[in-house]
Amino acid sequence: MMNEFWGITKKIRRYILTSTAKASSGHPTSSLSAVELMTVLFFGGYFNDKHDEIIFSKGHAAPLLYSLYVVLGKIEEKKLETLRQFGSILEGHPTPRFPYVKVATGSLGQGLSIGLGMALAKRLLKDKGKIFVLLGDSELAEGQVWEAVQLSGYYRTENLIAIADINRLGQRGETMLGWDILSYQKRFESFSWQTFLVDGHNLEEIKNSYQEALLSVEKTPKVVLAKTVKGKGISFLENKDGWHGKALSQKELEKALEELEKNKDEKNIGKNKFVDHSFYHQNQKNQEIKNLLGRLKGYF
Amino acid sequence: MDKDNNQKMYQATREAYGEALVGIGKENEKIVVLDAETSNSTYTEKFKKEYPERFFEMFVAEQNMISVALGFDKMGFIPFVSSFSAFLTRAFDQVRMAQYSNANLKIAGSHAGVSIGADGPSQMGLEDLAMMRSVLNSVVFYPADSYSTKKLVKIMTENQGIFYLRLTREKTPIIYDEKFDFKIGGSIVHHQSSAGKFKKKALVLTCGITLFESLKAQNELIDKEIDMIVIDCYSIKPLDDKTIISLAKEIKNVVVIEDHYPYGGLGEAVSSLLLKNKISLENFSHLCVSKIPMSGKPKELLSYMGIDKQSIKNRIESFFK
Repeated sequence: MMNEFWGITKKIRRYILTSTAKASSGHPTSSLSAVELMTVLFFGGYFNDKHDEIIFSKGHAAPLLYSLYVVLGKIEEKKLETLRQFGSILEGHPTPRFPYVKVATGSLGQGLSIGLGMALAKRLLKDKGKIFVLLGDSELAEGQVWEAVQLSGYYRTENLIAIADINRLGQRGETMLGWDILSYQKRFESFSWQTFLVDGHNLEEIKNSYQEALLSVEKTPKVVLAKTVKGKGISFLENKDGWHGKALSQKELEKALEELEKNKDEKNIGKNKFVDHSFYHQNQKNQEIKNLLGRLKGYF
Repeated sequence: MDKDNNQKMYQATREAYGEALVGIGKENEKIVVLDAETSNSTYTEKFKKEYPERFFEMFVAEQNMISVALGFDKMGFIPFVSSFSAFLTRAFDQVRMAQYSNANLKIAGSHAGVSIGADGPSQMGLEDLAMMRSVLNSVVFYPADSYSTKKLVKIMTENQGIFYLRLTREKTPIIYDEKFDFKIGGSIVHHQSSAGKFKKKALVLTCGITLFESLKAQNELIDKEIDMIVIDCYSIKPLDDKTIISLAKEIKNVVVIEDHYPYGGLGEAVSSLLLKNKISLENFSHLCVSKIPMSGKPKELLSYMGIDKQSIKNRIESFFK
């Protein structure tokens, strides 16, 4: 299965880079950071488009969204060449002109609220489907996101699963919290969300977190907080400032595709030189301290 | 519903809204109601009482509320959302975005205009018509009485799209009944048959709370031998083009009165319509809220802003001096 995922991620990266280069605009680096997260979701059996909903709240990752539907066989690969062109259903940011999208996104911070509405609606319909929302980290500065987080906690929408692509970089530089995943965790948990921390490029870890989230019996909304790298997979784009909303030139594209082709080692992509795993250990330590304090309280 | 000494019935349009929701909620299980913790002011609590499972308290978070409603819409429900019209303005981006999702959204903004009185300017919706008219395919209603409010809520349910219903805090007389027909792009013309013979004629276009000021002025201008014809433009967008154009062509002395800022409301909608149709007038006035408001009694504020009965009378009389 992992091998299959690996093949898909490679294909999707090629689609993202090629389609945005052809359009001479778009957000390839913001799309690249969530390739593993969405590949596992779409092809690991977690998202079923008959019952579930997916909202790309970070609408600028549209090239990734369209690429996923090419792999699913819902749209032709050739269609990607029309990205961002007049009359194309593949608009710069998703709109329902693309038939697999129900809501337009691109004005940041609105997707989670829409997802919450769908989650409450599904509950009312006694429909077991899930709502997945892909969030960017820049949009986590929007007040509306926290209105939605808070209210989802209140309504305990267990069918709402957010996937936060924490790639550290916004439009002009670092986001408010950068890669401080633990702060995001605290914020979500304070609103009664169940959180899952993952390396957002490790296919195995992502798979496990989705499994855990979907099997969880806790009646709370869930968020997968994924530490990712903007521009992931292409060395000269990875974690670099100044590449937001920029397509590659023909020359750069050739270089990038060559690098992508050469990378035969599946493990290379899983291991991420910018993402250290110390936050897991840190988190575990915090938990142990909490437990210890809890026990001590019992004594006094 | 209240009665005055003359046995005239009164009800605030916001209360009529709450009652109307109960009615349509009974007929249609797809109706859901969302409110930003103002359900005792918008009277959506009436719906909550009848259909608690279809009422969703959104607390004081209007932006989230609009997007949540869009989510309900996309799952096949018909969401009605409400708060004070003033506070809905902070959710404009969410409404703007909803139009690109072909949304079916029913938005009600209560406590519109300076006529709310004592609570002061922070609570007065004075830009809401401009905001909601600016959405490309929106429909904007501002009913004056309880009966028309209920009819318009039904129309909102039966038609697809983004609708805005402007509601008033004050109790207003119930002047309509089943003899009147309400529709998208409709209007109601109020004549005084005894004034038909007068040579001096004026046309007043208005909606909501100022309709009653206009009707009072109409009555008193009979003594001055002025035939004042009032159009209740409850459908602000689209306007009842045909009726307005034909009457303006004939009468040529036009006043628009509204409890809203000068920009983007009924006044600009009417001016643009008349210009587009090359209607040449002798007089045109736009009476509206053109000063920063303050707390006070509704009556005092309408007078201070020059949108009360006396201001209307004065303006029309000035046309014939």
